[in-house]
Amino acid sequence: MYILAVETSSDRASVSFLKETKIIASGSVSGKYSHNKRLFEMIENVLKSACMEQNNIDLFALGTGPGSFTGLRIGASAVKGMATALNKKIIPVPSIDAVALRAFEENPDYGGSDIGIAVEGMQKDFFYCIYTRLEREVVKKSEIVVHPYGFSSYIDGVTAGNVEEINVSFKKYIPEIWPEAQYVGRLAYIRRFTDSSDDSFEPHYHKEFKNVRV
Amino acid sequence: MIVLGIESSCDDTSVSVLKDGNILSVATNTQTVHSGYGGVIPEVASRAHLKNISAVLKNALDKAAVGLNDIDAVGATYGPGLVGPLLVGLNFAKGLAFSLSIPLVPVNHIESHILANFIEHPDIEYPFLALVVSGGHTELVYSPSFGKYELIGRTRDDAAGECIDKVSKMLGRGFPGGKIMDSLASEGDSGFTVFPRGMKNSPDFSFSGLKTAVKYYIEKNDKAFIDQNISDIAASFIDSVTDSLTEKLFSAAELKKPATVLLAGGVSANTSLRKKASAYAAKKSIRLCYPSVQYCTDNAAMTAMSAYMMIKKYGTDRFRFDPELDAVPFLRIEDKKI
Repeated sequence: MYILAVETSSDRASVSFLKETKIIASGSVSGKYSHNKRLFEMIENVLKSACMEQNNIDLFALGTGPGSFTGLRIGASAVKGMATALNKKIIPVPSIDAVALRAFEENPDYGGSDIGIAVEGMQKDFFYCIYTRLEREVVKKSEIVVHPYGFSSYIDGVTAGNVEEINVSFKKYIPEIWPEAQYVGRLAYIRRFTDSSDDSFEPHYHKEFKNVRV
Repeated sequence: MIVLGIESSCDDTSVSVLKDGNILSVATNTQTVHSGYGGVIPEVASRAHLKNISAVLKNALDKAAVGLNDIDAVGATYGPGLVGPLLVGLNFAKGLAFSLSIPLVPVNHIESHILANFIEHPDIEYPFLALVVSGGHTELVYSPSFGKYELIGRTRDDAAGECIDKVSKMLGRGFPGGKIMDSLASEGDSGFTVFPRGMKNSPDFSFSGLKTAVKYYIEKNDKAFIDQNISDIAASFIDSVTDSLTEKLFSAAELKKPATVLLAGGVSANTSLRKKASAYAAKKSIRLCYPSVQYCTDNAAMTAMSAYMMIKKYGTDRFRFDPELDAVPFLRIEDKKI
């Protein structure tokens, strides 16, 4: 089974082509306001370096946040278009789950314990959630909460994520753990039978839009 | 040739299928969530577009009894409009065109409003003068030949439709205000009171002064009086809006001597505007065209039609898939890159 995974929730966008959980080719770009212009070029390049045609894609995996609202929508609308055209299913995977998987893989010492995951929230805030590892999966042990920059007093143990260290002060922090398409793709493969979303699925914005009625 | 049109520049998610210049289907999801706010909230609109776009596409294809593999090209609005909503429709269109390996035609939203006239009047002659009036735009445009546009005038502040929406809200009549104010006005006496006409002797338009004048009028008079005379007040207000619009349209027509005068955009459905423009056209023996109401408001039929006309004019090679195609929220009609 071949999977094309797309992750656009943060300033670093990435695309991965996988055979089941094995990476065949990957690409990434970073920068604000560039995802829209770079995404399809990245998809073209990843397919080319994997020596694959679009017809080979069996499944789409999509990172669904939380993160940048616009980034999430760029990835989601592009993948919805592609999946519709090729008549393939999309497995939406929360990007924060992909960050958790990456944190456990890159830090095997913490395999037996819980890790807090802090993901950039784009509005001088971050999303925080505690995860534990269960075989190939990662499992949430708390709800995702939104904290302002600098919040740290209640968070113990190890935290990993992509929030700049200047904005957080955790007891122990593993920085530069960004969401990446390859982890999104691997979780999508594992979750392909349990996912029940349809083509009206939305990203995990995780912030309700509030507006004062005038 | 079958062309799929996708339009998402504001609060309508619309998809249309067109075959050789004839509309096979239009499916539109008009977002109702904004009515409680008195205006379109970009973040809310973007979310709704993404949620609904797949279903709207399916609906359009089913209605046309066409499969995705029958589509020869996609046309999508890339500007002007709200950037969040534009990005959803554009990226969805990019995904479709990329994976179907077919051309993608970037469509200018203002131009597509103008070209909507060709859906029902394919024999429109150039040069034409077009008045594009909607909730987001008020532009007077001269076109000597296909794809060439000269801007004669545009609004310096509010769009005409925006002004109508806001006055409707001030009068407690709800959003969007176009239809509401039109039906009130058609029952009223436009000579009841006189509201100002902005930017006289200029090709540009202005509607914020008018909006303020209505606001003061409402404040000056008691509520019972306003409610009692609501149709007459609406008629006087609409008369001011359409006078401003037609005054500039007619003086540009005297100057440019076009073969055809076109009305386009949501406000071109307004009864008073159509009446005034028709009277002028009859007097001067100029051909006047406007789209039927379904093609005045935002719709993807006009997007598909524009893409089809562009392919016919320039060929498909010009529209080979461009992975870098970006949304341009402040795209102007005179900035066309093709």
